[in-house]
Amino acid sequence: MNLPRHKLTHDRRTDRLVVLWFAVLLITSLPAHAIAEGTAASEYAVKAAIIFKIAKFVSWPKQAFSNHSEPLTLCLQEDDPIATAISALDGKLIHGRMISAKYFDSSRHQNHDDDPITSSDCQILLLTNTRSEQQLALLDATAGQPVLTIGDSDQFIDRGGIIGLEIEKNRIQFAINIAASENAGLGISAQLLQLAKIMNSRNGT
Amino acid sequence: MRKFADISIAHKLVSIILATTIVALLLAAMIQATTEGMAYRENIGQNLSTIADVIGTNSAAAIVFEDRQLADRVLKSLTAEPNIMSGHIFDIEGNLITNYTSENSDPAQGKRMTPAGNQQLSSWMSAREPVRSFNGLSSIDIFQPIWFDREKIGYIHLSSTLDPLVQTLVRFAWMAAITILIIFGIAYIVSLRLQAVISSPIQRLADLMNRVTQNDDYSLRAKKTGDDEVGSLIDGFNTMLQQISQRDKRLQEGRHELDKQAQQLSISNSELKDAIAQSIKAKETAENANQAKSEFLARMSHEIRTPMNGVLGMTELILNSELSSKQRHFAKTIQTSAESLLDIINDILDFSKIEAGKLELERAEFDLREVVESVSELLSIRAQSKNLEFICDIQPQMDTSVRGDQTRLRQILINLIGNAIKFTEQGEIIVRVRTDGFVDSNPRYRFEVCDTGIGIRPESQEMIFGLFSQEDGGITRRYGGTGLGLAICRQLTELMGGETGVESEPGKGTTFWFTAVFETGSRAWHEQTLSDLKDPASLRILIVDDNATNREILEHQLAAWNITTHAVEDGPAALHQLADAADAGTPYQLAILDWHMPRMDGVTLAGKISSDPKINATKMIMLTSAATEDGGRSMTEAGVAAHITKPARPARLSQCIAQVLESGTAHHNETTGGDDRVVARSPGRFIGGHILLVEDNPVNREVATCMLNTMQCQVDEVSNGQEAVEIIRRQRFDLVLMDCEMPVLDGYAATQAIREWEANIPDHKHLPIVALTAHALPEDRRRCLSVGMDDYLTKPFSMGELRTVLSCWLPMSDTTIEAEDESSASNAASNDAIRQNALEAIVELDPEDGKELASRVINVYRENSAELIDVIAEALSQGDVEKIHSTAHALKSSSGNVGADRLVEMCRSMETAARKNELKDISDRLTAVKQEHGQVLNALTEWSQS
Repeated sequence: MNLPRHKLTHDRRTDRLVVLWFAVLLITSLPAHAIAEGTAASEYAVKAAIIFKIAKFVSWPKQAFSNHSEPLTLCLQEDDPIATAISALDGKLIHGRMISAKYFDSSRHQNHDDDPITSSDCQILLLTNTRSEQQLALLDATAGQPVLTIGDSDQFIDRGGIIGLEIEKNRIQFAINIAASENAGLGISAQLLQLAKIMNSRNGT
Repeated sequence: MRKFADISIAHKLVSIILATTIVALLLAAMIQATTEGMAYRENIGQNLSTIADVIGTNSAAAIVFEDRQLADRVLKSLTAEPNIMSGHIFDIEGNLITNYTSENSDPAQGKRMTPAGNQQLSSWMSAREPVRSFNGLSSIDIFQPIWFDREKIGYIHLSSTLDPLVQTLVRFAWMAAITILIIFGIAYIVSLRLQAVISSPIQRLADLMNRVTQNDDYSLRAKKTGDDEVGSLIDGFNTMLQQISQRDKRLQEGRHELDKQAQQLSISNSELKDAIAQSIKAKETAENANQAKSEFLARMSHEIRTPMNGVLGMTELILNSELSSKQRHFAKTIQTSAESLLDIINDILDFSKIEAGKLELERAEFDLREVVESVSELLSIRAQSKNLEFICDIQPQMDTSVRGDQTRLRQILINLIGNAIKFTEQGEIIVRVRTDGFVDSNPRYRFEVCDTGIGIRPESQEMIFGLFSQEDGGITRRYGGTGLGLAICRQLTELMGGETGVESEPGKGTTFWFTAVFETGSRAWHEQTLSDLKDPASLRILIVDDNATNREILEHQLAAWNITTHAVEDGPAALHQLADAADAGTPYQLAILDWHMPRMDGVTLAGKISSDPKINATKMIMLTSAATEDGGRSMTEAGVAAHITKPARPARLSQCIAQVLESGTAHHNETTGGDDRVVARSPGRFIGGHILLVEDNPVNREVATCMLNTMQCQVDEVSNGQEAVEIIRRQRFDLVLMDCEMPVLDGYAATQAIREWEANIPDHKHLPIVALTAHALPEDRRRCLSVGMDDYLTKPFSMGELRTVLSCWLPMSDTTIEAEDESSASNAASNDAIRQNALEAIVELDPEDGKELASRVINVYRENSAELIDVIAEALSQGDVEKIHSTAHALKSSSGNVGADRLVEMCRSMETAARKNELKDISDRLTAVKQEHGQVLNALTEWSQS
């Protein structure tokens, strides 16, 4: 696990540098979306809204969709607590496509060979509550594919994830891994970049 | 400021070009400015819109993530646009996310949008389209929604100043002004050059015209420069010049012709002047000749009159002397011939004057009735001597006060009436006067003289008015006359605005008529009506006359005075009528009887009336045809109160009636009237008095002296005025007969001298002066009266005329009227002063001591009357006419008692004079009264002693 991890790390160090150098980091105070203290449900709802807003500033290449009317599929783990909040987004439009949530079993992803998650399955891959191994495996599986990966820890960026959400002082912030997004062929709006947080990764120091 | 029409064509052209240019440029500039401004504004709007789009897009994340810092930063980028004054970003709810205010803008403006819920904001938000709002020229507002991913996420507002637009416009205006100035300058220069193309040919033409006008040189011609309008103007001008020069030539020729004609004219003019001068000279000569002729005639007339006076006067005297019948016949023939000669001379004089147009009619006031009546009266004697009834019928109630020439009217009447008498052997002569309408508001009168004479044949009727013609020569031989009379009458009536005519039937009679127009006189002639009678309407008068015409006239006259009359034609009828009236209780107070009546004459009738006690209360007046043979004694005896000579003039008739009815006691009083000329004219009657005769002609002097002597006058003779004035200063005369034309001092000057001398002598009695003149014209009469003469006599005068005049002016003349018998004349005066039977009546009152009573009466009268006369004299000096009147009345009464009838009469006239306020008259009468009073007293003394 280490090896690949090292290997990955090595790769991911380079990635991290890119993130460090290219990301314009901002701490954005969003009072309207302030997370109500002690309310888990509201935290998820805010997260879900942020995810929806961020998605609006991201552009997918054409090949990400098989046809013009294909919905924008948001894949997440079945047991993810955010699932309820995300399901509320069902039917909303992004770039003219309906959001469609797709759930997967976390155990299934242990086997790399079986049933891999590809871009043809998901355009957004929410990996907030997945275990590390699975997270890594899924990130690896989607690397270089037009899939917007959203996670919720610093390691997530380090591991090659594209958007990392984190709650700090009751405020939700996000970081963007520009290298990963370019690698995935996704276009991130400069405006979104201006709002993204400067990543201060443990590795990077 | 000069009017546009007055300035030169050159200036006009330049002005027009410049004006056109400027207007075009200004229009273009304005259009350009407007277009530019609009485009620029649109552009700014567009730009601003674009900027708003960019900002909106850039701020999408800031809005979506509600990041104000980011939004701020995005808006800050507007600093690159200096014109944008402010910007605002709102979220979809309209809440302000961020705002931006330019450093160089008014901070207040930037805050304008801040409060949410602003009215404008909500209205903009509700707009479907992006709002682009201009705020005049100062600013523009852009408000548009921000779209992100097909979703409206918020709004952006930008406000930009429009200063650059204003600056651009100002710059443009400057540019335009400069451009216009430059183009104006260029246009001015160009137009100055261009206008010369049009104006210089015209100017040249005008200069040429000036030269032509100033130099009168019509040979000049204008040069043609082109074929335009100016070209044809020049052609026309040249043609005109040619025509003028041709006309000039013709005029020149015409003037030569005119000069020639003028010369001829002036020649004929001077000839004409000569002719006029000659004719004026001829006219003057003719006028002078005519003048000389007239003067000659007048002088001849005068010269002939003087010897005629001698002839006539002497003849009259001869006739009054004792003559054999043969001698009387010769003398009578001389008289007749001389009178005819005088008539002819008068006619010729008149006629020559009328012919020469020299006869001017007098315009003096006179009473028409008076003239007709006096002429009728005068000529009635002649009629009566031929036993012709003479009737004068004047329309009663006719206004007879007129202005005109009474002398000429008299002349016509005398002529016509004289003719009528001359040609009538038996029957009557009627003189009628009627009004005959108006001519120019002046009354016209128609006079008619009808006779029952030989008549005139119709074919001769018009001819007789011709000159020197009578019906035929035979008549001339039979009746005499010049034949000028009617011609003169016709011409005189024509001068009086009338005409003359004749109606006649041979053998039956002739009516000559004429009309004359007189001006209405202003004087109301004192008509002697029955004013003395208290109530004429209560009177009843019976008229007895066999002549129907006379009856009618009398009835007319009396009816005019409101008197009730009845007329009967003979004595028996009269007696019957009187008796009937007395029985009916309405007796006649008066009867007017005609003397000559068939069957029973007037005197017999009067006697019968008097002797009938039933009707003898009726008083009687007798109408006589001529002076009565016995002085009216037979009439008086028959009880007639008064007699009047026919024709009875209304004035005298009324006076007579009044006197008869009033003086009940004076039953026998003779009232024929002192002025009865018919009686008075009987020649040879006594006059008396001391008379001064002033006459240079010895024959005339002798004639007059003889006449005066015949009239028992004492005569002093002088031969000129100077002597007259001197003798009058020394002696007293009762009257002066003054010839007008005398050597040394003529009659006029002498009279003036006498009057001046008189005026300086107090209490001098007015000396009557009667002119003797050979001139028969009214002017001469006027002249006589104006120098102070009282009357005049035209030479030659008859003894009758002389007597008439003297009786008027000698104070005692009217007391002598009774003196019929010349043989008893010497003592008649004193004897008649009192009526004997009056005193006898007093004596008879007391059979025993009658004489005593009479003496007492006489004594009382002697004292009383003298006193009364003194009172009158005193009252006269005080001018108290009322007292004169009452005193004269008292004197009258007491004089009546002693039978001083003449004095009674004088008192009565004094009363009348006092009533009329004629003081001078009273003064004259008082002298007479005093004189008469003395005689009465003498007579009374005489009677007492006898």
